[in-house]
Amino acid sequence: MGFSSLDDLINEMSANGKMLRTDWNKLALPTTVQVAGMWYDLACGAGNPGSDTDYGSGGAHTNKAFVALDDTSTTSPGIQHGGNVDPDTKHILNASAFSAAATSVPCTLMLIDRLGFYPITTTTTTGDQALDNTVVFPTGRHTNGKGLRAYVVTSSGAATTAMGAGTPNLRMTYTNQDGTAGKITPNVLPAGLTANPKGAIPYSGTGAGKYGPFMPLAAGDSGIRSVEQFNLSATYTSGNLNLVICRPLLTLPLTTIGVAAERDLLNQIPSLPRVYDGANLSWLMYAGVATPVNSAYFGHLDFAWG
Amino acid sequence: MGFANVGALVDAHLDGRSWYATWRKSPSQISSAGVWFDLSMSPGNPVPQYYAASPLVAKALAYSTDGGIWHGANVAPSTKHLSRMTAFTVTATALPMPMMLLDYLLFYPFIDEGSTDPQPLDNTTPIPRYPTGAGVQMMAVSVAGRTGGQTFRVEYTNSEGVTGRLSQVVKQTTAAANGNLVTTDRAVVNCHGPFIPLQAGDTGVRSIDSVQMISGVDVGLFSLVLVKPLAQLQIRGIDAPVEADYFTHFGQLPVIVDDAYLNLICCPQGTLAASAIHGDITTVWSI
Repeated sequence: MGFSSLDDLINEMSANGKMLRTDWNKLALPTTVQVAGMWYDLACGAGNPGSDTDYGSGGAHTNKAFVALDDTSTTSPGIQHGGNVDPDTKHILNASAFSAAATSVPCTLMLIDRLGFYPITTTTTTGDQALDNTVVFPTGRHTNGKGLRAYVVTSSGAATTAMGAGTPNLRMTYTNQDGTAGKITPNVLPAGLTANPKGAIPYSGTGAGKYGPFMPLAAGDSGIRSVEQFNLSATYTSGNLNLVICRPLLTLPLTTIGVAAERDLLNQIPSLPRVYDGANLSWLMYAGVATPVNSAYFGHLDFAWG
Repeated sequence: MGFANVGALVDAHLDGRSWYATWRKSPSQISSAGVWFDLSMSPGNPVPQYYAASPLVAKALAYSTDGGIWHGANVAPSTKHLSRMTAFTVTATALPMPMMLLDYLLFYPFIDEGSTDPQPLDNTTPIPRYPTGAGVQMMAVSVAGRTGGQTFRVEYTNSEGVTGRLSQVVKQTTAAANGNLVTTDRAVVNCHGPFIPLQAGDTGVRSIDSVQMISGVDVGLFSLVLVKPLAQLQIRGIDAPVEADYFTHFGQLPVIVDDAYLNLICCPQGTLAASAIHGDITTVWSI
């Protein structure tokens, strides 16, 4: 489905009412000033939708077992987008974001659909740790894992616990979009930050082995069907990590306090990113400057379906 | 390969055959207005490199060995292309500022400006990508400051394999910062753009065979770098990012060769010191 023409889009929105505007408000992370050059998972911040209390040990999930997320989750809430619309398909028309907080910009926001995560509480264990894929990636929100990405974030539910001391390399072994198992994160391996705070992506920032925001995939790979193993080269001493599986949807760079960054995804960047039924929408944030705790960001998303 | 049509390009994005990566450069050097500057020598992400290797001996650069902006893993036999690039800063001092994304191929370290003798260069290591040299340019990066004002030229092999080609004689800037492209200065006659002008009719460089100071000697050192220019954009102000979609806006999709070492040069209108520059690139590859 989708829209066959501009006339069709206008008709679906104006005559059939198949549209929704959702406003959101998220705060920067609650415990630590965000560091310029690093990426953060705003799901860990307060606001609307509320903070994720499911990560790590928070949701009493089984260590290393995949947890699927959707738009009905109350402990891993996402931005609401109007519920299921099948057999129609839903798309993002416009997006905006702004902040009036001092030193909250520059930054770049990335909207993602979180399909789920592997909570990893055994962060003192080195070497390959087998992950449990009894629960599979949500069906209907990907085709054989195409376009899915993985990132790692520190969080222990509602607690503000940071990682302990350690700078391990992070590696995952996964099945790619073609069903080929045993694919491994290539060199140079992502390098973790010692005492990585809640909400931070530990291998982002400055230095060798720093990427942002996603774990690199092996040569030729464009997606992930499942992750079979997670590997720390050295102990992280304490704390919980989460290997999150997501689909990136759009980015919004912000440069100026009090001025909205606005994205027209029909005319400016004609892409109309699709929002699948059940999508758990959330924001990642690249901090361009030291960003005070609980700095407030606001914005909206326009959806239409047909 | 490549993309047969717009639909194939759209399908590549939808299938996830793309990669998004951010970069951040935060120069500490006090650069000068109108003097092009090599951001690969500045702190940030990717980590800087300083052209440190055996003097006059060619040293190849690649992502797998030297870093640079991450652009996704190798995709051969598919081809990878630059789809989008973003850049922004909230410090006005250096703006407006043209920027250029380059594939850094190979460098010859530590050219000594203290001698007018021809200095032969060791080409035991060949150019790692663009093997004919088609479209490859030369730039001279300062790694030790000088008084400036002296001239030099290089002898090179062009992209047709013809040896003994002579660049134009170029004059050095008086600006002293390491990272400056020494042949650029808007205030000095016979300085040029970021790349050393080639002999008439030439369109690329396969190797540099020697370099010679012409008008006199100086105290500085520079490195000669072979680069393939890929894309450009301009940051005009601090109140908005510059976002380039190379297909939609420019009708092109610059090729990024597997294992390319990507980094940026820029032409500030004031000092870059304490100007953090942020951005991202999105690559896309064919089936």
